[in-house]
Amino acid sequence: MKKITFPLIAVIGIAAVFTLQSCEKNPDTSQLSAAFVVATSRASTVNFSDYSTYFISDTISYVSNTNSNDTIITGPAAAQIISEIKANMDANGYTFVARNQNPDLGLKALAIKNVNAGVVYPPGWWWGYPGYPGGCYWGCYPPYYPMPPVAYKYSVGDFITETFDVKNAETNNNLQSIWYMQLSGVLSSTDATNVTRTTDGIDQAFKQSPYFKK
Amino acid sequence: MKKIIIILIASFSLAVTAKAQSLHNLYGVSWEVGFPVGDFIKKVSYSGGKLEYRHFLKPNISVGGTLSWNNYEEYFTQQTYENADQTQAITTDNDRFVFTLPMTIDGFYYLEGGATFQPYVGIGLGAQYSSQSIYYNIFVTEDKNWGFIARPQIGTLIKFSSTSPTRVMLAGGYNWSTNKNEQLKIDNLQNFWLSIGISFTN
Repeated sequence: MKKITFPLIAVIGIAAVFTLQSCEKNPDTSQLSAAFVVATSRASTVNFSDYSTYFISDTISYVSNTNSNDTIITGPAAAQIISEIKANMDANGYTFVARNQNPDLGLKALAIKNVNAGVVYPPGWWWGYPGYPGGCYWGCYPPYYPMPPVAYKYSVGDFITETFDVKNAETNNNLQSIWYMQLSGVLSSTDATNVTRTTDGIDQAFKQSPYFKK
Repeated sequence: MKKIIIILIASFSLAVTAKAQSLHNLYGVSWEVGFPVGDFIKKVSYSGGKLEYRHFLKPNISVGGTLSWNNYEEYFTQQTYENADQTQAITTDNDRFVFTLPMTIDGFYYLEGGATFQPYVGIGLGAQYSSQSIYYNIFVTEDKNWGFIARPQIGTLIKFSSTSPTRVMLAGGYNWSTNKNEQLKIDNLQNFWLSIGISFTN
């Protein structure tokens, strides 16, 4: 019988490894829904029942590196989205007041699109972007985000709502972000679909944050 | 002349029988079904297989090597996942996927099994390449890694006839590997498996 030499076995083995690696299937992702991925994060030391009032602007800041002119989203779509946030806040026992009436909580909605895919950003990096009301909007305090990012990549379409502790800003000497939600996914070509996905995501964000109530 | 032919046929038959009873090498290909252990994926995989070679040092002892592969995949409907201190939560549906590619050096001990069956016990030790992924919405979190693997197993060779060089192979075993994925909280990969295949011997 002809002997099989070690080099021959090695060559066959290496060829087989490369052949078998091609046996790796392509995952079937057709079942995945188009619903936004809903991520929420909170400051661990805060008692949310210590707050009573809140304010949120009717406009949504728009951060994008593809169109620097379009910095604010307004109109019916923005109104519907902001209304959904208000409805959840009201249902959780908080009262909406005007910004000049010293709200305990300051909420801010922003949409992000096409910002350097794959780069890791800490929450709050959007301060200073055109359209984002940074500076002294909530009083002249530096922003402080005590939580690590839930999602690290902002690439395709993200809707974020952050909540600041305006009530204790002077005591803390900073503007602490105590809760934020991030909805991530593909934006549809139709506004109606995007609004529906966003409002569904907002409801889910509050639902998965049962601690966020008066 | 007739006598010579009878003697030749008899001699040839004896030679084939003798050869069939004393194996030198075995080349096998099998379909492998994987039963994952652990929480990451629970769904049975029918997308696996293996190629193996055995060299018989003695009639009841062989050494060799096995290359096998498997694809585990399971879809999870939308649910909320929280971190340990419940300060972060994420809600999504997701599709989880694990590919395994163990490569082992094997040793087998064959038991007395009669004319048809040749049962064996053995173990394969080696390395395993694996990739683990979670797909959600348009995103994917994935990692590729190598680990040590042990594959204890039992099985049997089944002869078609006393002269045939072909054997059916039935086997079952357990895979334990050190492939680790901190991001997806996987400390090791484990699974049971069953295989059926065919082999050629000389």
